[in-house]
Parts: sequence; C-alpha cells; structure tokens
Amino acid sequence: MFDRIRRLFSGKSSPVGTPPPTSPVAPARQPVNRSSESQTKPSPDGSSKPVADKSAAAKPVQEKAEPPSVAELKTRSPESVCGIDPKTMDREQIRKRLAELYRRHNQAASSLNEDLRNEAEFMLDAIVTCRNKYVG
Amino acid sequence: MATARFVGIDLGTSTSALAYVRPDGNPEIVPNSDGERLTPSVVYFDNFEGIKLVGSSARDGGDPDRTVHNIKRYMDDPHYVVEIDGVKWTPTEVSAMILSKLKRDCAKMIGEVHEVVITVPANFNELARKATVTAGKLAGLNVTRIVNEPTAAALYYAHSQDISGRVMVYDLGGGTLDITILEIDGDNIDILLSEGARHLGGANFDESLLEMLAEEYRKKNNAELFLDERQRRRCLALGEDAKKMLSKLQKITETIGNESDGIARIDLTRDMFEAAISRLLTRTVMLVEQALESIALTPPDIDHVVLVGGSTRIPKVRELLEKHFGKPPISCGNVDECVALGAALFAQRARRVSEVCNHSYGTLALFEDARTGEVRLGNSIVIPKNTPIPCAMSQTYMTSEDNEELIEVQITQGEDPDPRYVDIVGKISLEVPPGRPAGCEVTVTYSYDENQRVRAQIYDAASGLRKDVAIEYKGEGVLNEEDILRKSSFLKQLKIA
Repeated sequence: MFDRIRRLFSGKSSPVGTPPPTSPVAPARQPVNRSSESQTKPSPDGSSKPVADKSAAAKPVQEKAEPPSVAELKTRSPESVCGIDPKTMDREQIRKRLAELYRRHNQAASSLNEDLRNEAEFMLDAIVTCRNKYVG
Repeated sequence: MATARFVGIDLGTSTSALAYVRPDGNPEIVPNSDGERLTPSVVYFDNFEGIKLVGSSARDGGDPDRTVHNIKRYMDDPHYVVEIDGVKWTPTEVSAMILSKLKRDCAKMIGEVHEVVITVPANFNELARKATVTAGKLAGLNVTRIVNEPTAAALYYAHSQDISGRVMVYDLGGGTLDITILEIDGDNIDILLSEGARHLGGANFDESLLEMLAEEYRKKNNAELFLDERQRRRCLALGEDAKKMLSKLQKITETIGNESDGIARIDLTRDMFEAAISRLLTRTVMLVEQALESIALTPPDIDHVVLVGGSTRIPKVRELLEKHFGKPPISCGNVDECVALGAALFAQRARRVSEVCNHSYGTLALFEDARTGEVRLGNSIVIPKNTPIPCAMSQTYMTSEDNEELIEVQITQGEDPDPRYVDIVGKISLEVPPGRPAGCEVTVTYSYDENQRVRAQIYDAASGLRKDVAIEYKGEGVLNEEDILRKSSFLKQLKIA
C-alpha cells in the first residue's frame, strides 16, 4: 500500500485545527505542518528548527513494519496485544491506553476491508479482556 | 388515492416500522397487513410460486437456506451478496423488498407513500447510506432524507416529553449501538456528536445466550444442541424469548432440544445471562466513555440519558448507565417504535435539526517532522467527524516530487491518523502541465451534504485546473446506476407478500 500512495502531497496547512493525536502503534513523532505560519514557530515536539522548504520526497520516508497478522496476534497474551504492562502502568494509564485502542479498532470494525474488520474484532476482544481485568 | 405526507421508516436490523404524522401533529405507527406495528426485517424466497415473503411469515417458518435475516448488517459490505437458486441478491435489493412490503401495506391505511425519510445507524458509513437510499428507490420511494436513528429518537422524545437540555441518546438496537449527544432547546435540536459500534446489539446477546444454552445442553445430554441451520435458528428464537423473560424474571427454565438427542430442561438465571453478555456490555460502556471524552464532557454534564432500542430493556444495561451517570436513564416511551415515530417528525421538521457528519474524510499525505526531517505517511483530515452539516472544508498541500504530471488524491474515510486504519473510498486524478517543480500548491475541498454524502474537489493553483467527483463504490454487492434502473422495474414485478 505504501508504494501505491507515496506519490502524494506533503501536508501544508491544517485549517481543521490540531494535528491528529499520536496513535498507540503509530510513529511517536507528531506530524509538523509545512505552512508559512508553522515555519515561524517551534514544532510541537519542542524543536525550534524551522521546516525547510524542500520537497518532501528528498526526505527519508519513515517506513513502518508490517503489523502482525491476526494469526500471529492469537499467539500472544491480551496484555501483549494491547501493549499493556501492569507492572509499569497504573490503572488510569491502562484505561487511557485501552480507550485509544478501542477508538481505533471500533472504527476499524466498520471498515470496507474484511481483513481489517477481522483484526478489529480480535483486538476489541483483547481490549475488553484487559479492561475487565485491570480497570473493572 | 390520497398521498401520505411526512412519512418516516425505521429500516431496522430485526424489525422495521413505518410512521406518519397525523393531522393533529402527532406521529403514529401504521400497522402492516398482518396487523403488526413492527414488521420483522426477514425475507423468505419461496421456490414454488416465486413469492418473496416479508415479515413474520418469513421469520417463523420455511427453509433457513431461503430465509434472509439481519440483512442490514451487510449494507456496508461492498462484496456481500445472498445467493438463492443461482440468483445473487445484494443487501440493497433485499432491503428494497422490506421497504416494498411496508410501502404497499401502509398505502392501504394512509394512502400512497411516495416521499419518505429513512433512518440509519449513526455509524453507517457512506456506502451503507447510499445503499439505503438506493433500496428506497428500488422500492419506488423518493428518499428525501436519511436521518440517524438516535436523532429521530431524540426528536420524538423532545416532542413527547417537552424537555430541554443536554441529552445523551443510548440506542441499543438489534444490530448496532449508537450514542448521540445533543442539545434540545424547544423544537430545535443540535446534534453535538454521534458515535457507533457495529455488530453490537440484541442479535449478539441472542448469540451469547445460544452459546450458553448449547453448553448447558452438552453437559446434560452429552450431545450437540443443533446440527444444522434450521435447528440453530429454532434454538436462537427460543434463546431470544429467554432473553426477554430474563429481563423481567430472575430465573426461568427453558425446555430445549432436538429430535435425535432429546430435550433438556435448562435452568437459566439473570445472573448467568448477564455474565454471558458482560464482555459485550463492557464495549457499550467504552463507547459511552469515548463519546463523552470526544467532546470533553463528563457524566454530570448530561441532563438526561434516553434509552432507545429493544435491548435497553435488559436491566443490566440500565444499571450500568445509572452507575455511570449517577442518575437513572429515561425510557423513550416505546423503545421499539420511537425511531420510526421520530423519523416521521423529522420529515416534517428537518429544518429544526442541526446534524453533524459521522465520519472524518481526508486524504493520504506525507507529514514532515521539523526536528528530524523524517517524512511519514499519514491520514490528513479535511473534514473532521462531528462537524455540523452541510459543510465544505479545504486543505492545501504541496506536491512532493518534481515533474509530476498526474496528481492523485486518495479520499480517506476515518479519523485514525494511521493510513492502515482508514478506508480509501475514492480517488481524484488531475493531469497537470509537465515540467513543474515540487511544492506546487494543490487544494483539496470536500463537501458533505445533509444526507451525509460526500463530494471531493481538487484545485491546482498553478494551472487553474480543477476536478470534482462524488464517491463511487465498487463490489459485487454494490449497484451502479444501470443496475438500479434495471432492477427497479424487475422489483416492481416481484410478488412481495
């Protein structure tokens, strides 16, 4: 899919407000818009470096590893699938993490893509297991 | 014959209903020719006389291989078809048969029905909404508006209860859960947000109860409760009855079985049922939390929690909501009929209702990190979910490569920033003059109409070229304009009873 869609545009302005939130499995960095306005401001992650006015194609494109299949996910624990570590995360952190995952996979459960729908149903099941176990 | 005005149809997963606004301004359900106020959304394809049975007669007997249940669940699946006697039927066509039955039966009571409002779950995507409009068209109806089920229910609630304030409608129907938060001020309604969950409703509870019955039967008789679809359907119906009884009683005994392995008397308690559906109920609570968090509200900010849909009769559902909001939820009168009644009111008062778009629409774009210079693909939202509609919004981008001659915009549906979790629902291609450097400005504009239909436009500033498209879906289960014309006349000739 990535090869097919790489020939698109680099984001320039965001009239709709804040950039999308970082998702649990997405790259950790927030996108930086390349508008003239944003060039005069520090980026959201604290960097004061202005955005260079160069083609985005000249930049390294961050490729993401293919996500695990449902078959692979089934071999893991619900905690592992949801990225939850009860030893290092408190109840509220777990709740927020599960809420983020729920938003993503509840939406994906209505996808036009059958594989994604199946994955979403599996994930929703894992999310509910963790929720009942750690949040109540 | 007279023509009925202000007609609304609740095309439900389990049952459907038609209502109209009486001359006194109050809506009323119109019974079907079987004398029922709710028509089961079930179609039976007869193999002797070629008749398509719709309603109770289709649900209660016949060959399960010729019976179609819960077709609404597949309205958003472009590849789903039902094959009977070698003929493939799309969900749109099956839904059209249900609508035809309602139209024909009700015409005998209130006059010809031409223009209608049809309700859909709030989380229906654009494909499913379009399929619903097409189903109406095939049934000979002019669908003037599509309205979300919770919106219709809220309208009826506001009409019948004369209340104002911030309301959360909790609509747990046969197939889906919809959460809608809205402000009611006199006759005016502003929808603030709609969230939904697919395949989370009464049918799922029935399946859970059936699994429990099958397990208990296995323990008692050391055999399987059902071996074929006909037996499974029969047990499912018994399970549904048990569910309804357990909403009123703490304990029942169900006698269930089959011809080969005998019957078993199984004791069921409300606690057992609630345990069987607890995972599904957790999902409903998470959707409520998501809805509130999406618009930065907390439970005390909600003045009324209104229950809609047959599954809200389950005591545990009410209990969970009362615990969450610290006040008891209010039933919307007859929870099975209020959507159709509200749809009829909506046909009369649509202008007083301000709705929001139910999905985010955007495009795939490259995002650059200012600090590291890394570039990643993301879903760049142009119209965010819950924007008041109708609306049109734009976003300007820059081309990323030198010498681009073809600009392609992939239209995404979904709010997730990760492209993997959104649907690509369309594409616009625009040929531009050769020899251009990277960085040319391209503006993408999406418009969203009151029926939740989307159009997209691309504008290239340097050349002044522009192009716009409506989103079209492809798949075996999707009808194109030619199909609609052909099937419309075919459907008129079908014997639907």
